[in-house]
Amino acid sequence: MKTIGLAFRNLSRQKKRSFLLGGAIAFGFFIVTFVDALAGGSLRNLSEQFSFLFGGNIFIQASQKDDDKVMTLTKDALFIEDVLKESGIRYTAEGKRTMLFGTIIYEGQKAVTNISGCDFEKEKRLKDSISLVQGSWENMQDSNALIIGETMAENLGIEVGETVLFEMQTAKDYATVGEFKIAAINRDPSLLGSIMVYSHIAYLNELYELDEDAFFFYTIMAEDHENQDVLANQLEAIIKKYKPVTNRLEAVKKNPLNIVRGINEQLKEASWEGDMYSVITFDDQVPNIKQILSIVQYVSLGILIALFLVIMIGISNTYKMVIFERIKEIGTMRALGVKQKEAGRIFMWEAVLLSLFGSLVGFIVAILGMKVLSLFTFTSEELSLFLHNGHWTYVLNAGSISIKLIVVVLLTMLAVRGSAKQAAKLNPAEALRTTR
Amino acid sequence: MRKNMKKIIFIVLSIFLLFSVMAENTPDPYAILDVLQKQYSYDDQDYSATVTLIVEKPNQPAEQLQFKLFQRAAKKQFTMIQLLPETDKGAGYLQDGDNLWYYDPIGRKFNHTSLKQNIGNSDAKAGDVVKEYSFRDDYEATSIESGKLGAFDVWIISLKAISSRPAYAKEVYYIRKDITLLLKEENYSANDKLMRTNLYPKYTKVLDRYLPIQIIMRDEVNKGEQTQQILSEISTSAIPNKVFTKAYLEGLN
Repeated sequence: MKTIGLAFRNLSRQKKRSFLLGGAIAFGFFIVTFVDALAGGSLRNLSEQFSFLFGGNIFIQASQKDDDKVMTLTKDALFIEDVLKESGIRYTAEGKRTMLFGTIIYEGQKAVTNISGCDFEKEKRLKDSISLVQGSWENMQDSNALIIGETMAENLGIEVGETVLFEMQTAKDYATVGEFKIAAINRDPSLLGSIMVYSHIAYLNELYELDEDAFFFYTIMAEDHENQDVLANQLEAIIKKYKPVTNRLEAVKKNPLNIVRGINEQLKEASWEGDMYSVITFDDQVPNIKQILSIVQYVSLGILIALFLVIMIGISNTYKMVIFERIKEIGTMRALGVKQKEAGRIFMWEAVLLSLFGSLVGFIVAILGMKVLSLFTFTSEELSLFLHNGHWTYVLNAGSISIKLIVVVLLTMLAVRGSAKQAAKLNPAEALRTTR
Repeated sequence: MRKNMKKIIFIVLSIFLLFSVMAENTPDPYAILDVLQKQYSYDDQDYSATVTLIVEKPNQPAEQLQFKLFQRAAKKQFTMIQLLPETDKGAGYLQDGDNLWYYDPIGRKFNHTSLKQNIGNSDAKAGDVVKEYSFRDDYEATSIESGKLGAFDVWIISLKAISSRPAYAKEVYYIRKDITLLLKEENYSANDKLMRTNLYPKYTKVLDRYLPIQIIMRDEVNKGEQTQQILSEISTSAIPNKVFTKAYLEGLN
């Protein structure tokens, strides 16, 4: 405790020098915390926007097997609703979706898109989240009504009330074309919003040649977005009690980078009659988002180490000078009975305190910087994918920050280690004789 | 009573005769389709040709795609190598049994694809070029009627797809009566929308069979778009086995 006190006193004696050294550490820590948190926030926003596009972050679907061919077609919505009730999972939205890929054609102009077939009466949250800039919900009374994004409407030159064609494949893989009437044009919340096209699920099913009550998947928007995988495993366990279900954990084990492929392989290999259920999370569908985040964290750790190698040279040189400055003081301490190890420890503690204070300042500045940045509204379409309503958001990862703090402390200690050893080895008589 | 009996027998015989005459005039559609299928099925030998696709779209210059096709129908194998445009040279399709791949020479990757996919930006599908379906197994003939197409007397046969192999749910064929040649084909969606019309104006004789060397595929959904498929350098010489391998496509680049 005495050693720590001495180390702290030494640092506060040379305020200017400590400020400069701590400032260098703070700068390094600020950079990596800022990059990490912003990348985390951006990827979360991207993930949430995609989840919104697909109607949720957890998907439940049923597959059937006919002559080794796997088809995905879900009919028993009641069973899924019972499973959700039993799980007690909290979610903000739920819905049945049929989603078809194809090309919208209007007067020679084309746009490749997905059309989401929804039940607007039941999906209140979806209805609330769609902000119409043209047309109205009354127009949705037409069975073939379609809502498209304003960017798409502008690109195709369409207005409300006009009819477009949608070229697609049926369930039996035959080419087909459907006619849709533009009921409304919605405001694009982001670049992704521009490809959000909605229609009535019943009409989309008819075009795809599905039964009216069938759908591709049942989706929920779980409140705990970060723990989708835990919730998915929980749902899987409940389904397993009543019906055959694929094994998500086995898919993760077999194919950690492509969980959906792992589940599809299970469906291909398994034999069953009737429905085989699968529970998939949004992160399973787009594992790259998690991968990008890990890559960003590794890169920022690399940047931190590179920055600190430069900072270490500065710290190391400064402490060599410090030893020279304090040589008589060290000699006196040693002459008064301070042991070799203790003399060295004072320097090591100085390094620890310097790195802790520097990192704390860097962390606080990074949070302040992010708070200030999040106050600005950005309208760039390219950036919109990563923003939340036009604002940058950030996610602080305690694990990642702790690792970086440990790295900073260790590197600073490494930089001071040489000087600490030199101080410990000083002969008290020689030190006292030294003149500056 | 006897008089009435005679009347009934007369009416029954008349109806029978009428139906017999009608039946004689309206042949079995499958019999016509079988002949048609034989025209372009080279199950007994290898077949190769140069396939040129001229893609026309409104307000755009015509685009030309060219492929060399090698087919061994007996083994459900074909290789189609892109020759034009220069930028896509070396790309191609390879079918071996039920597997069909598209080869990307830049990424040097084979990706699974389907015979129903359009070739490049054209209205032609790989399935149009290799014609692997069977009228008897993949379609149900729903009607046959006599008609006229230009100067030709034709049989108009309506077909409904019964397997997942055809690209369209319904098709109508206009087949010449004097020589069994397909003159026109209409492709419909399941909801009866006309999606594509194919015209067959030119044929050539290869090994006593008629082969369409020009097909005009008119896109009825995207009005004004059409693709002309022209066959040239047709040959039935034996093709080396190595041509139907992935290594062959990879080795070309």
